[in-house]
Amino acid sequence: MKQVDPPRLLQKFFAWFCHELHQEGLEGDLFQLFEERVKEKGPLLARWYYFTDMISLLRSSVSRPIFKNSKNVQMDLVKHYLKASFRFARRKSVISFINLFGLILGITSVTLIAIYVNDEVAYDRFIPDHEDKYRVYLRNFGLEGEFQKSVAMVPPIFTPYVKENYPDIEKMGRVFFDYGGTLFQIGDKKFSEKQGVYAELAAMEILDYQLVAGDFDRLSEPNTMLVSESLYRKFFGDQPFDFQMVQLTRSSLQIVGIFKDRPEQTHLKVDYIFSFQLLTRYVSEERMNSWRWQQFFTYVQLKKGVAPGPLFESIRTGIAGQANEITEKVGFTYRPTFQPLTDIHLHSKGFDFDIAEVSDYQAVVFLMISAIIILLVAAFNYINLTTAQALYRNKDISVRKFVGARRKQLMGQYVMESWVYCFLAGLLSVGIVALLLPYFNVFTNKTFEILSIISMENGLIFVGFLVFLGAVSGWYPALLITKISPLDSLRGELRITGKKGKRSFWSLKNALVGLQYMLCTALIITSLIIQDQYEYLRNTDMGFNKENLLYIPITRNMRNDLEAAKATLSDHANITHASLCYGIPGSMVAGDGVVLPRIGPNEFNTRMFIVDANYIETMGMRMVAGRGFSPDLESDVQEGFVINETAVKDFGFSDAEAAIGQPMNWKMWRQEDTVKRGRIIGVVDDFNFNSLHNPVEKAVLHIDPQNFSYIILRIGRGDYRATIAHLESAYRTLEPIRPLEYELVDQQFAQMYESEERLSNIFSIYTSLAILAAAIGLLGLVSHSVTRRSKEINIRKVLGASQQTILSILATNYFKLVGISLVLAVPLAYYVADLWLGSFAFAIDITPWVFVKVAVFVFLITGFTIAYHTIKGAMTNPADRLRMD
Amino acid sequence: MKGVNLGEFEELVLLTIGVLGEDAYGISIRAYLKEKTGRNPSIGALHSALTRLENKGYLTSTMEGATEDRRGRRKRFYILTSYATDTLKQIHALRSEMIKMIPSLDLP
Repeated sequence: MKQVDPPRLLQKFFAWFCHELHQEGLEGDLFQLFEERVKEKGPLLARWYYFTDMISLLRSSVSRPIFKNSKNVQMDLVKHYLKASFRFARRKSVISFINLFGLILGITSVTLIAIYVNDEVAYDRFIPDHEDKYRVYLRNFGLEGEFQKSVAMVPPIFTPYVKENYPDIEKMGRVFFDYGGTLFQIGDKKFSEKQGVYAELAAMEILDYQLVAGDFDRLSEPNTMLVSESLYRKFFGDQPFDFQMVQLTRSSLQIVGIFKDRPEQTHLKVDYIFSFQLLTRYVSEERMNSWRWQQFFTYVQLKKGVAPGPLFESIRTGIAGQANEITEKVGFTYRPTFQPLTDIHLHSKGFDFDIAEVSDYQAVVFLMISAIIILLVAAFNYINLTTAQALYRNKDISVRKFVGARRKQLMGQYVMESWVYCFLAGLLSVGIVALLLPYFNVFTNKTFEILSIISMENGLIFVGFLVFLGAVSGWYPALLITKISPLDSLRGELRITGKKGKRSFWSLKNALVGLQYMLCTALIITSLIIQDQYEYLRNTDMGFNKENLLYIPITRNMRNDLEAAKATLSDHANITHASLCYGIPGSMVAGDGVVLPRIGPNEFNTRMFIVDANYIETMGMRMVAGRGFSPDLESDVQEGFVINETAVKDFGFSDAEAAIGQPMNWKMWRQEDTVKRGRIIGVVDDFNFNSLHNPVEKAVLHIDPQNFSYIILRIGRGDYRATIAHLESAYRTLEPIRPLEYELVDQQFAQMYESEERLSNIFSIYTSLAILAAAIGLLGLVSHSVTRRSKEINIRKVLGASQQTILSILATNYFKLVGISLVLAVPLAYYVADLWLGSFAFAIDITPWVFVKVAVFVFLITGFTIAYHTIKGAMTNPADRLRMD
Repeated sequence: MKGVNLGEFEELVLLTIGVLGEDAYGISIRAYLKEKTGRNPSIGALHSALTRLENKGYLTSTMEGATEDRRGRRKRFYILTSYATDTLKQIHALRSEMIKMIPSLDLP
């Protein structure tokens, strides 16, 4: 018969738990009972009873002596150390509190930032084989080879060209963003959705879109689309999937599949995907084969084991051979660049025409550094304060040494003490992090949850981090304190560092305090500069007035009579101006080529604003030369062009006046063979239509009623709500189907600077925390040193020193330190801030004023911090103090 | 006379060990208790009573008698000390003396 055994794990556990004195007898009893029960009741019940019997044995009379006094010396010693640390901590409660508080600050900030950074770098890492997958973008260069900008979209021809000529490519696919969104109609319900694309199946496979129901392959048929799980639910509720049809404004499409909702950590989140055929049907063959029409997000997957470097290089030369000739005519060349999928989120800042969810790599690094600075400040506090306490512990240590303790053991005691602090602080920090997380989410625009963060792995990392932190901050004090010579100490002389009687200014303590102040000062300066820059971004003169501008997309129903629509919408006392246009600052602006026949046959690549006669006035732009469009001159529609100042420079005119009257030609959009021949009638002051990260590009404004797609309105200072209510009702008369959707120009700009805003906010919080930690550390040190030197001070007083003298004796050292750290911090901060500002085309100048402000601030803080203790020290009555001795 | 510090369960355990003589170890004690009194103490409870009694000096124990169904573990056999037998006698004497003095019971 096969032998049945009680559960292994339980046996092992019991062997561990049980006192060795009882172990054999009890184990025997348990086995015997188990055997009997197996025979009587079967193995299952026997196991169960085995378990309950064991539970009944989990009592102190059976257990091994874990927490009881025993012969285990190591355990006793540890217990004793803990007790000693605890007693000391209670006696010096202020210093213990400062230590603990600082560590909590440091650990909490580092943990929060670690959570954030961890999330940021995890983008798109869930995608299988992501190391073989890339997105293609273009780096544009001028004809002299100067870098102009990065563009996230590439011409459509790339994909067929590369697929045909480079067999090392496994897959390649194009994605076209559904600009303006789509209105879906299901039954009598309407849904206006904005997050959608036209995509080739290959792109979706590269990005790991997962099928829930239906058939992805059918997306290659023309009138088909896919929706996400949540959008399907929005459309159809709980209905089962059955290849339903949905109604669009002009056509109807069949849903041929549902894909799984995209995870949070991916750069491209879409709700619906149209068949690529749908797009190619509207776009001319010529466009799809264009080397200039940069309009497609393109993803590539390489075959396994292919070296990317040489392949990309040969693709680059291949494309250059095809495209350069064409693009050089328009004044630029581009260089296809391949970025790994996992780099898109953090390394695409400032790309033109990007729809990816991007974040700022620099900001992430900045935050990490600031969190580490707080942690360093806390660790330095700990080192300094603990070392300073040596004074109170020398007797303790001397006695231990006499009794035979070795230095190693004593050091162990101090390192352990710092572990106790770190773990206590760590434990409290976890609680604080859990409490702060909702607010942190608001700041970072994320959705962290504490429960999904807590895991075995993260726990181990956290514990490892605490062990490291404790070892680092406990090691030096341990080394120093245990150096005390017991003979000297018990004789009443205390020597810790250096030669007898010499207190060097260049001590480790001063170095650490100095370093703390240097880091904090650098933080403050950088943070102020970031704030200034952010203010500048929001408030600088953009060359037009971005406040109170509202725009509405023109719909099919309005097109019959656009002027009437404009008049209806703007017929309200609080709407001061209205204009029909295509091209609005703050959102994407089209680009196209123009030719200036007198300069040469080549096209200039410019930004194109299609406007009506009211546009310049509506936007609040300023004319520099010539005149704006006039509503009364029909010739302005036929042949008027207005350019901006950058265009004047780039076209090569000596000044704005020289540009007036120059002929200019433009190929019409809707009739490609027709050329609009006109003249430059005016020059407008440069205005920022893009993020201030980028310089102003040359722009051309002209009237072309065929291409209007927005009505832009300037709202006055009157009742905003009433104005919106008017718009709602006016809109309804013009457009019975679609709901009113409007955007505000200043909000579009604010969105561009979200990452700067976030950085500026978090950075200022972290800076305050770092200052706080440094200040309380200094407070602890000052209080300690004043107490220690009270005898000296009072003897000086008895001998005739004035209060000012005493104050200066006590405070000079600190001010000297702060002064030196300021001097060191300025170049550091300047360097960092300059680096950051370098990413903006429009940046503030760093003025010495900032440094002066910070210097005053830091000296004030230091003054306040040390004031209480030094003044108290200087004002004591010598008689009170000296009588004690 | 001074009272003895024995609980009711402890007294029963001592009596059982006395009855079982040389064969008193955990399982046999538990089985006998169950047979005579109908109670079924957990082995944890029994073990703690035995340890207590041993600490108080009523019991001594020896380890022997490993068998196969115990996977080679020896049994811990308990034997009454003379202190225990004396105490049991005392208790018995006291009880029988007192019980005779209850008139309504009408014992000889």
